[in-house]
Amino acid sequence: MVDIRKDFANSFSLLRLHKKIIIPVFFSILVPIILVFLFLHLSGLGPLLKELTAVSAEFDKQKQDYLLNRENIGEKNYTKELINYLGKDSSSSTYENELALYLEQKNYNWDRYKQLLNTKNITMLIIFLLIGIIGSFYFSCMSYAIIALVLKKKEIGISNLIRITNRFLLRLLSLKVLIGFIIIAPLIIIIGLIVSLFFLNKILGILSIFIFVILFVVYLVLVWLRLFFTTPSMFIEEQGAVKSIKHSWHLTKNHLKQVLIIFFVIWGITIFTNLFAGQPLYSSYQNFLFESSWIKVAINFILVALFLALESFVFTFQHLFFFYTYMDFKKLEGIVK
Amino acid sequence: MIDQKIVSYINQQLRNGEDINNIKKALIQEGWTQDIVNDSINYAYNQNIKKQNGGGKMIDMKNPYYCGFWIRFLAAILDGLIIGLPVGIIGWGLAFATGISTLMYVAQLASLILIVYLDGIKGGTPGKLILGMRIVNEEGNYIGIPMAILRYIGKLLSGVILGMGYLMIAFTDKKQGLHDKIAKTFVVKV
Repeated sequence: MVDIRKDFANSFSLLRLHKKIIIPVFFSILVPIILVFLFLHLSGLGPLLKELTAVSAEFDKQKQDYLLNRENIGEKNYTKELINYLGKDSSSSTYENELALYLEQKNYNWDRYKQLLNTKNITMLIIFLLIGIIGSFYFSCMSYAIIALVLKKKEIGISNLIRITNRFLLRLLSLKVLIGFIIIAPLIIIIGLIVSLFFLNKILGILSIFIFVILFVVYLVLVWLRLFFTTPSMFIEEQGAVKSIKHSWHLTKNHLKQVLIIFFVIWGITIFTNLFAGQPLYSSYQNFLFESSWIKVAINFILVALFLALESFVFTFQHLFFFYTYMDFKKLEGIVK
Repeated sequence: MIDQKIVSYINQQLRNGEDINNIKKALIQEGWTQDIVNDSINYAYNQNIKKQNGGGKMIDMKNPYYCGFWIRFLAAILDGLIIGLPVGIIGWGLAFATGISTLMYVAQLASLILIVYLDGIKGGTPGKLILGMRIVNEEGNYIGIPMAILRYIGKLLSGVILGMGYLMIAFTDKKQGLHDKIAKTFVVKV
């Protein structure tokens, strides 16, 4: 049995001991954040969105003032307005429509956005997207590499880390492509089969959708669990994409229940991260970008830094725990190098 | 006989992830006597175990009384009143007064830190403490910070599966919810 408790505690102790291993994850999150900031300011979209946010906030304030005014309580439309406001994010609420009307009354000029849709901005967007994807991928690869180095008690100097990251970069990319292919290939076959059956007989086509969807979900879950340890296998055993897939496939053969438990805990850590770091980081960053008052911008900047550090810490911990459980898992099969 | 200098050295090496036997060998090679080394290692080791177990508060686990679903449900309501409600009011209040909605997340984070600290070091959140319950591990020790975090993650999972993880408390022998099973913890009466 994999001792989740022990692996969790070990990951915690190791992270406390080697705090610098959060740096690659930190940068993998920071790169997109900086790129978004740069794009908004260089393209001219930032000030427009700031203005739109200010007008929306003004509208929201008016709504709040109406609802908080005691004299309005008991009015004919009060309850309806209150429900509408509290559920403003739901599709049934008319809040968005009312906001659109308010913007129209304010003569909000939407044409300014169309003017931003020029070659310079589109080129810049593509370049930034590419830098973001490549940068995040590189730092993700580096985060796996640094964890593997720490677990193997090897030197984690910057030059050694860059050398190992570069060595694994293409391997990790091919692994992602291969896994994507393993998942997508049957999906394409299934879609082809469903379309063919649909042309033969409509009822048969509809029936086949249900059957194939269930079959595909089962396939997806099984493949996902069997390929669960490909990444740690690649970095710890220092092997290529195909060998990692084979290794993970072999390792998980008789222990799907164990893998499921580990997956479940890692999923829990993901929920934890989103709840306490991801969502707050996203909201703080949005406020930092579009708030007009400098005090609010400054406070949100501090919050962005806080939640960025927290998210980096938890993500690194998640990777570390994942690698630790892999090391523990290997003992089940007696494949310890 | 314990030598404080050696104890600090052992603690440092343990923190660096060094094996205890290697530390012992190194100290003896340096010329320290076997007795001093052994006593210092035992002292440092016990200190670390105590720290990991939240200060080493022991609950007798020979014949424990495992707390059931309803009493824990009541403790959860008390926690809601003692921690949840004030945190909610402070969070909303801060966000409303300053106009910075994200301050709500700070209050949320503060409540998480408080819950993890209380569960790990003090043996439970106020609701449990008031009702005389403690969260302990198999040995009867308080669970410490890492296990309290794991238990909290387990709680999130218990909630995600439509609260089934919490319902497990009512149907398992040792009254363990999914979060207790994951972190190997028990809620016992003191």
